[in-house]
Amino acid sequence: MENSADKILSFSNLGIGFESGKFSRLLLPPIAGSAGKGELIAVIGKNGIGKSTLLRTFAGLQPPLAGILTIDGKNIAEFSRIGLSERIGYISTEIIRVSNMKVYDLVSLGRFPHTNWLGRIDRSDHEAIIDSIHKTGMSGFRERPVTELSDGERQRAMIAMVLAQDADIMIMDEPTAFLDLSSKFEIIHLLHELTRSRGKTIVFSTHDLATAVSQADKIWLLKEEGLAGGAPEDLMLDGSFKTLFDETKVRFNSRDGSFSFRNDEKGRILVKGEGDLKHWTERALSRAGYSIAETESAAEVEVPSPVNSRWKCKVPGYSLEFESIYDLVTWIRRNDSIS
Amino acid sequence: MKTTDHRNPFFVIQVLNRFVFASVILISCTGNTAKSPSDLKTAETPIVSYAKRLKIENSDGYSHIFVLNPWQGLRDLAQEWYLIRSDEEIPSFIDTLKVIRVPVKKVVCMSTTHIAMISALGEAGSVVGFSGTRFIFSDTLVQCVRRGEIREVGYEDNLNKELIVKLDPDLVMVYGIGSESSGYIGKLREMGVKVVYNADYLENNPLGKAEWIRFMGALFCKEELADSIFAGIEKEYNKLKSYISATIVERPKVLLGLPFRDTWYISPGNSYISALVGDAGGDYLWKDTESSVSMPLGLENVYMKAVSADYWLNAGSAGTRGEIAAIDERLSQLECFKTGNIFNNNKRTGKEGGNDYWEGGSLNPHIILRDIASILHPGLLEGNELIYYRRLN
Amino acid sequence: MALMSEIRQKDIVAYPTANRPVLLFGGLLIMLILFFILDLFLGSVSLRPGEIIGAIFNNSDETTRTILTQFRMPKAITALMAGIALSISGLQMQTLFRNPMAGPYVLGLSSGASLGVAFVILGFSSEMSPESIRGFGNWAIVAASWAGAAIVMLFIMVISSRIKNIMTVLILGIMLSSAISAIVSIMQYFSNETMLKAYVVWTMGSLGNLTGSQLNVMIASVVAGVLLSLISVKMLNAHLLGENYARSIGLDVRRSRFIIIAGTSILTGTITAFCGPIGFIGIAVPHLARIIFRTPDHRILIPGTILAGAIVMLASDIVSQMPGSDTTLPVNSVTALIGIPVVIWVILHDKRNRDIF
Repeated sequence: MENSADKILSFSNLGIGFESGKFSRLLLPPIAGSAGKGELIAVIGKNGIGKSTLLRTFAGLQPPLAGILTIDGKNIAEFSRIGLSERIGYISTEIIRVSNMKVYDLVSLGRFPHTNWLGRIDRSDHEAIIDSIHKTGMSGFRERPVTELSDGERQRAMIAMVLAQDADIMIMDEPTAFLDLSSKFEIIHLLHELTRSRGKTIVFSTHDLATAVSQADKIWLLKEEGLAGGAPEDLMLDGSFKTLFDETKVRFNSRDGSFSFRNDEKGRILVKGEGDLKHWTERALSRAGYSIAETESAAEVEVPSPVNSRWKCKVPGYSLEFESIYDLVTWIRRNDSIS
Repeated sequence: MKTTDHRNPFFVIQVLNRFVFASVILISCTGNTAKSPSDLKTAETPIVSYAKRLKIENSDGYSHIFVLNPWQGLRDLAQEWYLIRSDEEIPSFIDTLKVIRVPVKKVVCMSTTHIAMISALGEAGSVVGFSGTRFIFSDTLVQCVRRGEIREVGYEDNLNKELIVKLDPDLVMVYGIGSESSGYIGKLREMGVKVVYNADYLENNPLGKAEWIRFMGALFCKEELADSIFAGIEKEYNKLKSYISATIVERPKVLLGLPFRDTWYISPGNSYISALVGDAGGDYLWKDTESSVSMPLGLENVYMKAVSADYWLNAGSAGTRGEIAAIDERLSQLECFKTGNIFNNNKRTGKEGGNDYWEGGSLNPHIILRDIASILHPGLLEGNELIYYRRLN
Repeated sequence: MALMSEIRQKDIVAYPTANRPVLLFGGLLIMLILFFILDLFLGSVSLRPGEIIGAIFNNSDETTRTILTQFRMPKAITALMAGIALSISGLQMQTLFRNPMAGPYVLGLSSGASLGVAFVILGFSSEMSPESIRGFGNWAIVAASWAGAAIVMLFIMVISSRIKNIMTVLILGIMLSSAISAIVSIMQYFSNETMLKAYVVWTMGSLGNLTGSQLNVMIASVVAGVLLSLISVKMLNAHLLGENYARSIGLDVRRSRFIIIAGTSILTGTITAFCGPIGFIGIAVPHLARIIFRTPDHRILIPGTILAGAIVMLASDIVSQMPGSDTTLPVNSVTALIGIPVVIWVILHDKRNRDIF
């Protein structure tokens, strides 16, 4: 049971969508859920299902079409613009391009709700800015123009801005989109950090299921039928994730949350060996379309060992050695009459 | 329409009697055998004496007319016409495109000066179309317009060419603004209409302008009438002019024009109005300047000189001193403003803005001269009734 | 906070306000005073500096003194005001629409003004006779210009409050401008030469025909407009991020649009009413200010633009006087001649900042 009083963000019977003129279009059936303080929540769903709209509604940038959305127990509609911005910060995929704007200037805009009519940065504002820059690892970039940042750096600068806003809730629309792999991890790690050390409640959308599953405290999965919410493991076990994929093409491994492509099964091979070598050889063979046998099989592959540094492959009629997995698999693919 | 607003004039250097042409003694328009050019006799005096852009030569049976440089900026262009009586044969050496059959019966004009002169010859009835009918001052002509005898043909690119063709005039008399390939004129010619330039408004000599009545005289075969009208004007004007120059003791300083926004468009010293002021015994503040167009001067420059003006004439279209002050407060500080010596040439104006100064006044330079002289030298001439000018209050 | 210990002491002490802006402001202020004085000294009538100084201290003949006090001083003040007003308007429009080519007239204010003035000067030839326009005093033109601009401004305000996307407002403003220009063209088509010339001269801009009460009204309006833009500083900074982000950090976007557009309208409408439409200053000067100060912060840009705009306009006025010769150039042409190279230079040379805005 979700009790909205002690939840920092809570919604029930919420209808999100668009209004144009007299017509309103609901994207999803009414949904409900809540977020507690210090939680990292990932919003997942197919493209076009309404993730961005949901986040914008949470951030107060769009009004809900129906239902109730409360922040700290108070209906979002009752907040003033400034009041809301003191509670909620928002980052989208929109890229900010202002010439001459340094990272410090950008982050200082986050102090908007706190500064006077002229926007003057006083001592406490300055400290908050420096702190945010430091927390996001951008200390060396203070005077760097925003236009000269890499994607990952720019994302961190944006997060610093929202951090300087001193809001308890941070809403982020695909914060790891367009980032390279290492940056992706950095960002997610940072978000995680923020929830732990600063007690921020962060709601973000992503397509990166593996990361969401491993890092998020809670997942909100959007489907045509509505929203399924819970710990990643809960959703894993109740099969909610299955609906994200076309099962004929992709196989979802409910043990570790990973995916593999379903390929035509061409045969079975037994892999002899241990550890990483065995694991990755099995993966390669699996990609080639062979399932891994547990017990004896007509086809065998033996991984390199201290005795022999090559892969040995024994199939009816052939006994060969290969220098690399690539060579092994290439040969197998060319001669696929293995049972 | 065209009211020859002096803010828009294109003047050349004022010259009297500078032409030297070979010219033939006027042969009456009763017809004669055609002669080749080599048979022309040269007269002692040219027909046209004051007008710089008009040249008339007469041969047996026809007049040979030149309209020179009919618009601003030209040096060497002459529009040539052979005026041949309707019942005469056209001599073979003459290009038929340059022939006008006279007397003309139907004309379309673009300027009130034109119709004033035509009207003075008693040929008002031949005007079938006009550009800007609401600016016509003369009552008789206004009646003609009301009765539909004179049709409105629009102006410049807005010309109702189809109407003109329908009216089937013998010629259309225009004044030139720009290059000859101006669209509407070319179009008219294409449609078979004869287009004749009239350069009277470019004349800087008051008598030169009035002398264009000879041009009209030739077109309507009323040369004698035109000559006598002009002779009268010439005599009166010159008589007045000599009287003035002999009698005056001093020349008051004169300011002309009205500023608009940041600029005064000042008539140069070689302009029509400058000539009139000079002849009337005044000292036009810019009489020593020479230009073919009005000179745009800064407010400061004009002010420097205007402070010493005794009289202010031709103040644009202002009707009262209040209007002048409303245009620019600083003008009310001028001496001539304070003494009330501001006179404008809009005494005879019609309801819709037609000004007889530019209409009938073109044939009355002597009256204008008299007006100005009376203003500048009160008491010099008997009877102080101003015809074209009035004091602004 | 425990985190403070992680941050070096040096960071806290280093406040963002550096020396550089102060020096620049000082330099610009000096230049401004210099150009103002120069504008008084140089005019279309050649006066020796001695005469002018004498006139200031009541020590010269009447004419010189009149020229200085009645002609040059009002003109210099007008140039100052016009430069300030148009530059700030341009800056605000560029920020609000996030478009480096926006200017004070982007919402159609100059079209509205020209429509009003066209009515007064050109009329509809068949219905209005020249008698009624005879002696159109300056106040008539000013009132007509303001009326036209105000109508357009109201229209834009209404649109702006109803339409979410600021780009749509921009496009509608441009379309409105075009429609009005078409109407004015029709009026011009049916006019005679005199009226036409008068209208065209109005469109060329003039700084020199304001005196006394008109000058006072103009100064008051410009001051009001500048105050409004000072209030808008924080809002403008927020707008740099785009309206979505601006909203998320707490900006009341609709209200800010209203205030910014109102400030621009007052400034631009006033100058256009008194001086005619003056172009290029509004577009070029904000870029100059950005290049000089190298910051997008409007707390610095607004005063910087004020100074730069005043200097450029005074310079334009000096040039348009053609000191020494008797003729003068229309101020619009001079601002174009100065403004266009600036804009081109900005686009080509400012390589460090690929994104102009």
